[in-house]
Amino acid sequence: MDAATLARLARAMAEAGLARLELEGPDFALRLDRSSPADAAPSPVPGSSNGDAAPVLVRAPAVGTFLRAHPLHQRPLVVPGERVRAGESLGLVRIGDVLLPVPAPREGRVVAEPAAPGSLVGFGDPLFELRPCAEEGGCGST
Amino acid sequence: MIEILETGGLASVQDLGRFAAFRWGLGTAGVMDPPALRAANLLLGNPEGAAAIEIQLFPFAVRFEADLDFALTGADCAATLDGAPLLPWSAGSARAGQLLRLDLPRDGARAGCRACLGLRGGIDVPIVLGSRSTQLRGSVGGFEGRHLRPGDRLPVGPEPEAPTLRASIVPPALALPLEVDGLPAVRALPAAEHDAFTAASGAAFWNEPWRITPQSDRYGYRLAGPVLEPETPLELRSHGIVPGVVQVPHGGQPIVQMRDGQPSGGYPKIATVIEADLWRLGQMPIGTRFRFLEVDWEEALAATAELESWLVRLRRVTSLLRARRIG
Repeated sequence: MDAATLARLARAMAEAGLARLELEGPDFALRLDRSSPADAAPSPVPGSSNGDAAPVLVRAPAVGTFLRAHPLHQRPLVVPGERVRAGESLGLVRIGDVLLPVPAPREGRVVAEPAAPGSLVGFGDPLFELRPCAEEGGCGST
Repeated sequence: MIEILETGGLASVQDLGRFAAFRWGLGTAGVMDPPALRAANLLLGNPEGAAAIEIQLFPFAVRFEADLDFALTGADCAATLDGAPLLPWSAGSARAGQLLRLDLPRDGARAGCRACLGLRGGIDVPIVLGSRSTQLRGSVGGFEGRHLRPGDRLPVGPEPEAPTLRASIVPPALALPLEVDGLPAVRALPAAEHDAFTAASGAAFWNEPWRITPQSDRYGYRLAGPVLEPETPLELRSHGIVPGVVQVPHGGQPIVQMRDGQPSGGYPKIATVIEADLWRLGQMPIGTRFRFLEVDWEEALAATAELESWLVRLRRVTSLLRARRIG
């Protein structure tokens, strides 16, 4: 991929208002970020000074409609404050009639849900904020 | 390979059905909910007609003897893998030794009553007369031609090329809902002897709700409702019938032929449930009240096209998501 192509992709991103573009080919992987200053420092979050590890943002795996519950169920997969295991489904992104699970990247406690259920989310949009347990079993009881 | 640990009985290996031997008097068998089988296989990367296990009584449990992807569709039965809850209509990955458990389906019109457990590679029992479906009458096909028992070990076929998509599917009960006056409905065509019934009986058949009685299974559903009477007593010679045919024996309470139904019968036929809606009936538990909705030939074909277009969209989205290496 040459510089002219990169510049063209960057222009296309700006025109479409995309924050991130990821492209993968058989022998290359490209990631372009067009982050605003507000997004630039995702890691330190206020309230992380009490000895717990910093919250982890769990992002949308695809463009689609964000759902907190399976359409067959009333009950959300998780509620804020709930403790989850690594790999547990926190929510779903609906593309047509396919529902992609949003798995917890690690054990922790769900502390926030930035995305509104039923809203259209983009690839990489933050859906959940997970506070990792400081140590094994360190999340306490739910 | 998986091992059956626990079954309430009546679980069997089924695919889409055996259509090549109908002319020799061998019924089709096959899953009661074909869209559920296709959806499970779509997630697994299998051919859509690969054989799976149909589970009708719960609890049901299997142990995986090797790492294996599986998909569970049909009835929403609070399934767990080593205790961890699974999403309904979804695919997952099991490690060797893990235990998959299915419990009683939830209540509710859309929960369904028959689960479909698909395995990556499909269940590799011998193909008999073009199908792996279990035909209990005559003990043909499936696993030794019978229901599964604890201790049975089922082999899987070679892995397909496409990777498993670890996703869930919005079931057709939600994507293609069908209700009439607050009750679930199935569409049906008037059959050959429809007009031999009294006008009042004909009207009652289409307008009144019907209840699925406990004498209902994969062979047929016996319904309870208003008594249907012919104008004059009808005597017919046995003739070919297919799943979906609604017969009215003496007594006036209809029987809907299902997937294990006989290929011939002599009772007068008032209607035939259209092929595109047989899965709806197949997922209605005993005790369900439902209605028949009269359609014509064109509407029946349109219903088939609608179900097919749901599948086409599913195929497109699953292949798109696979291309993005998600799942």
